[in-house]
Amino acid sequence: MTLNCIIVDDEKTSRIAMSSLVDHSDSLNLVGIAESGEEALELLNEKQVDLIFLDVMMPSMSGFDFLDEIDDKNNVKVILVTGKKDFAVKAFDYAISDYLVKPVSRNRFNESVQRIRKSVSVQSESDFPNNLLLLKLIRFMHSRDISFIEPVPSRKSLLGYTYAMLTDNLDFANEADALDILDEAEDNEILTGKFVDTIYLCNSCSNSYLNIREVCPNCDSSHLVSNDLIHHFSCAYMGEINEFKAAGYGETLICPKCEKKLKHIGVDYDKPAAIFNCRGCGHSFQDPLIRARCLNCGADQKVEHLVKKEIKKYHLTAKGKDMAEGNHYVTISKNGEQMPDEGESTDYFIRALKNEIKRKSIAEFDSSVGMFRLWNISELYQRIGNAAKRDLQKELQQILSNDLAPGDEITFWDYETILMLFPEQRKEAAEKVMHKMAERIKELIKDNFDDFELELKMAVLKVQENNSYEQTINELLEKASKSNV
Amino acid sequence: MKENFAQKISHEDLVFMKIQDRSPLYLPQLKSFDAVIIEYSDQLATEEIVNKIRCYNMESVYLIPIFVYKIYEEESGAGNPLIDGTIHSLNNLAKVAEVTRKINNKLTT
Repeated sequence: MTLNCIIVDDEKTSRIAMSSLVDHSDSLNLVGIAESGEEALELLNEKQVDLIFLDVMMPSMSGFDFLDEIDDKNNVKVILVTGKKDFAVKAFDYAISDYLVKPVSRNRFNESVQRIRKSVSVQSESDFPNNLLLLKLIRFMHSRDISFIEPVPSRKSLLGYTYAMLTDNLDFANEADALDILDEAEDNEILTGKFVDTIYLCNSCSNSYLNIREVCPNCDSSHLVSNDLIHHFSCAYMGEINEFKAAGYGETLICPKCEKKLKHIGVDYDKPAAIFNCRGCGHSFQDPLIRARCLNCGADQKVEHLVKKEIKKYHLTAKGKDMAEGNHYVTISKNGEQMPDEGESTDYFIRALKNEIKRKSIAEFDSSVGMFRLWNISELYQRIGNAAKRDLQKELQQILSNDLAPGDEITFWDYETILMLFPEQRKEAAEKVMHKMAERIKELIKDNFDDFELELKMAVLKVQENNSYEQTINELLEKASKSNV
Repeated sequence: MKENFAQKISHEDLVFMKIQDRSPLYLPQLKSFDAVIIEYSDQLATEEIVNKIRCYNMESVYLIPIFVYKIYEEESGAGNPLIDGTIHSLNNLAKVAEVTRKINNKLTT
């Protein structure tokens, strides 16, 4: 978890020293530097800030004056950075998270940041930006007696539609979050939605401004020319209209086979289909592929892989009004790109593997650990986009879990690597289970993406008491890269 | 405090801030006013300042009633859903006061 932070200090040397400390920390992302409390107030209200490094002694507005001005202190953590130790008691009154005395040592700085990081990660979900945006929206609707929030068509918007107060508060690239927020609000009965339109979005950047066109199935070129196909009833000849025109004169059609004149459509002939000729590769075909090029990110995708979304107008419910009045608070979950079991499950897997290694050193039994590498899956992910990628991973995890025995562990190590632990199972037994799983993975991919062939790699090892968990995983990675299922 | 381009207008018990759409604005100062009146000179500049206010994270700022003051009536297509009204004169602020009171009452109850 990375914390967005700002530095507030009127002294240039202190600002440079602090930004150097922040730059060297993996846990921090510097979103702004302010030379005064006033500038800091602006930054704080324009950016998503989790942590402030605040100097106390500043000329026009002191650090404590600045704290008095902040609307809701609970949303942001503050570390006081000062040359004097005299403010400790006052800092305590202000519920300051930590207190650093200049010059700040790297160790003391890192220790303080880690402490804050832990406390932020367990903080209530109500502080996530989506919850704040929803609250902003419903407070706005309620204060204005707005019964419906309507989608307004807009060429400037990523989605092609804007929602007042919501889209305005999101960066262009994140405007699709508005739909997630509204969906969640509907699920939580804060808003009720009424269908207005259906939109299709780029699966990679959620943009709705797409160039949808026919392309050649052979070379993907959109440089196509289409001609009607003509079926001449009397001689049963079938050919492109150009052939009939070439045999005739002007617009008169003459059959190149029987040389009869074609007079009336439906009587002499019909046009059963169109035929496409690719100017790129010369290929002729009847069924072109339909592809959509995103005019924002440039991704070219099959229309089947576009993300379909419903655009609705939303009504504030009684529960929503209650929330707007502050009578109760509903939190909506944090959205975003998350692997199906990201984070805690991977940590849990590592702990389980470490325990298994330790157990092996004190008892006589066999345990196994396995790995799948979906070697070329990134090509597919790129093609299908983020939303479909997450769905596929969820599905993979679900079908693999079905084959695991109670006590076995599974985790996505990264987007293309799956790890499994088989406690007290011999390597041969684990291999058998994994072969079965491999079949299921391949079937799932084949059923859903018939034009993609997955290169699947697999490795199984006995858990060794003299190997660390890092060594075990490295060995699996090496072994898997040489295998092929 | 940055250079102030704002003008204070008192009306009965209410205090409005009048600013020009191209003037720099120190947003936290809005919280001491009951509403803000933006003098229109350019569509884009007005939209920008309205968005800036509505995107601010301080509740007393992002919920403040906003009125656009246009001397001449113009065809502007669909109205901006982020503003609370358009006025064409500063001599009669009764309508502005009425809407402001209504909104502020909602916010305090």
